[in-house]
Amino acid sequence: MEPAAPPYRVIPYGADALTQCFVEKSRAPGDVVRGKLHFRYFTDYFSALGAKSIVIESDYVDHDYLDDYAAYYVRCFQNYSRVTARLHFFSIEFNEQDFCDTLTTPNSWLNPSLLQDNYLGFVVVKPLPQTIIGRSCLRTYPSDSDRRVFPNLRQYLVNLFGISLEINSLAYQEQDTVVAACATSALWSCFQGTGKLFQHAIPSPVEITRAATRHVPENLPANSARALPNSGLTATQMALAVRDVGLEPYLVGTPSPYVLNSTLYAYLRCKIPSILTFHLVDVVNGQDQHMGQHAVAVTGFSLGNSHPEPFGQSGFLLRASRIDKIYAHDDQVGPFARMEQSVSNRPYLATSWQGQGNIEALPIFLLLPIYHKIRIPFDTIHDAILVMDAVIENARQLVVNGLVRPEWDIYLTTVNDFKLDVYDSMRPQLGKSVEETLTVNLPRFLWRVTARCGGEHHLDLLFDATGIVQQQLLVHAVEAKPELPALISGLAPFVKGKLGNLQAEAIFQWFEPAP
Amino acid sequence: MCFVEINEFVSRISHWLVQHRLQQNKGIDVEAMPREAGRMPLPQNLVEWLKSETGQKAVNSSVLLSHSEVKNLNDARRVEPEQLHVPITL
Repeated sequence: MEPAAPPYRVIPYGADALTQCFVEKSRAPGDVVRGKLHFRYFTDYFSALGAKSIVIESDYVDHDYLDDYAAYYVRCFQNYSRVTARLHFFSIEFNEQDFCDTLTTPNSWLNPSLLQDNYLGFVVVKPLPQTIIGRSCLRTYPSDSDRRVFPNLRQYLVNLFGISLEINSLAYQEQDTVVAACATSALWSCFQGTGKLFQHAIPSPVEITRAATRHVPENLPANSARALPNSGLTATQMALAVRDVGLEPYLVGTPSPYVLNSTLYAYLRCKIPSILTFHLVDVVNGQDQHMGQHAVAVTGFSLGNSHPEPFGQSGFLLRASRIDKIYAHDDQVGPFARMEQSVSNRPYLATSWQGQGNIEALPIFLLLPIYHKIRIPFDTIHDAILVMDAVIENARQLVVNGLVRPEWDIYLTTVNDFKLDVYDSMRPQLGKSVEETLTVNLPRFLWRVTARCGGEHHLDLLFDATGIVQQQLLVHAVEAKPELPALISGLAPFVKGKLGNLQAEAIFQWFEPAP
Repeated sequence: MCFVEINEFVSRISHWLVQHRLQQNKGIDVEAMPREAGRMPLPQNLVEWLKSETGQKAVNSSVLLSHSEVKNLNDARRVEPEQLHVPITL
């Protein structure tokens, strides 16, 4: 009988140490581990976060892996372990004796508070031959003065031998290609966010695959009819999995970077992650080599462009067009993986995938898991603002001296978040009129449209996101500066009935001077 | 007469002080200041322009332009039916 492994070990962090941990705690050989994109990604990521020490928790029972194990691995002829290992990363140097003292001695220098301050998160290592990265919750890159935004992080509580730690993250895991393909892993990460937000049960990967494959797929020659082992899901199957947790799937085609950025931004600001699917193309000597389709969970964005990019001939300015990168849980790369907006002979997203040439990700569609009461889609509000902006732009240049063209910020929010923002940051600007905004009765979900001119907050329009498209959805307006409302109000009598867009008409009607 | 002039002088000085403090951002109690009542009226020349044929044409053409952009966006947002049944396998 083999001696039992010690319950924990503490080792200094380094690329070799990480390899050693992955090899020891999985069934993967060293060359497989070192050849994985994850390994390269994690070494870069932990270097950037300043990792110094790893605590290896030898026997860890992971709920999600246990579900997968019970559904599949337990009935394999080969003997797979039901227990995983969990690696905890810290940005502080300490050794095994220091950690032992923390557990046993009340006044140890390495106290729980110090551990918490330097906690970078954990990675579960699955005892499998190749697909070894299990549930992982890691700290994000720093915000860099609000350039990087990860709106849908949630708190994960960690108990490390009695020491309470917490990490703000969104869980990630690699597909095992048996009970979960890339689409399953992306859905699983999305549900980690929506489960907390909309209070639904968070299914394990195998439960997601089962829900998605409850019905035989339509295109049988292209799709396997087998649920397990699973080689991939279609958009329809992903939509079924979303329905299964009680949410509504909302699909938007995203070949245009403008549509992609504006849509994911609008929902992500309300903490709703989305699933992005794309073609992966290896461009070798100018020739496209199609690798296949892939799905990732979008978890953040970078507002790296200093100015919004004018859209089309109208030159509409949308804040989301400042996005230069998105961050995604890519189950083949790692958590919060960068995907940079790039252009060659077509717009594409640059990824960390590696091939013979340049790998280009060509977006196909976004799938958003939406709470059923969010009924009004982003495009209804966006299109109304675009129409209104085109009309007021005629007059803005002619009359209001010095008023910079408004930059529109359109996103979904909740009444609580909106009022919290008004209370925290807008009271000095609004003066006594803030009382009306704080006490007004509003629906739970709102489309918030903020106009900023030269960085100054001028106007907020609030649209009911729970209503019906045939009604006027504008429910409240906050006038922080007089110029823009004056312009809309002055134009209102001249554009009445001419806009061909109910919601744009509603805005002018709201500001129309009383007869 | 003199009394009126002094009053006006004091009022102007107070207004200047308020403006100055606002510009210097020295913690004036803006909540205590009255909000502007009513809206700024549009200048008469703009109103004339909006009433004119040129103004009406400009408004109509901007509406048409925005409609064509909305249509292009809606085309881009559409997911082709065959995309729904393609397996995502990587």
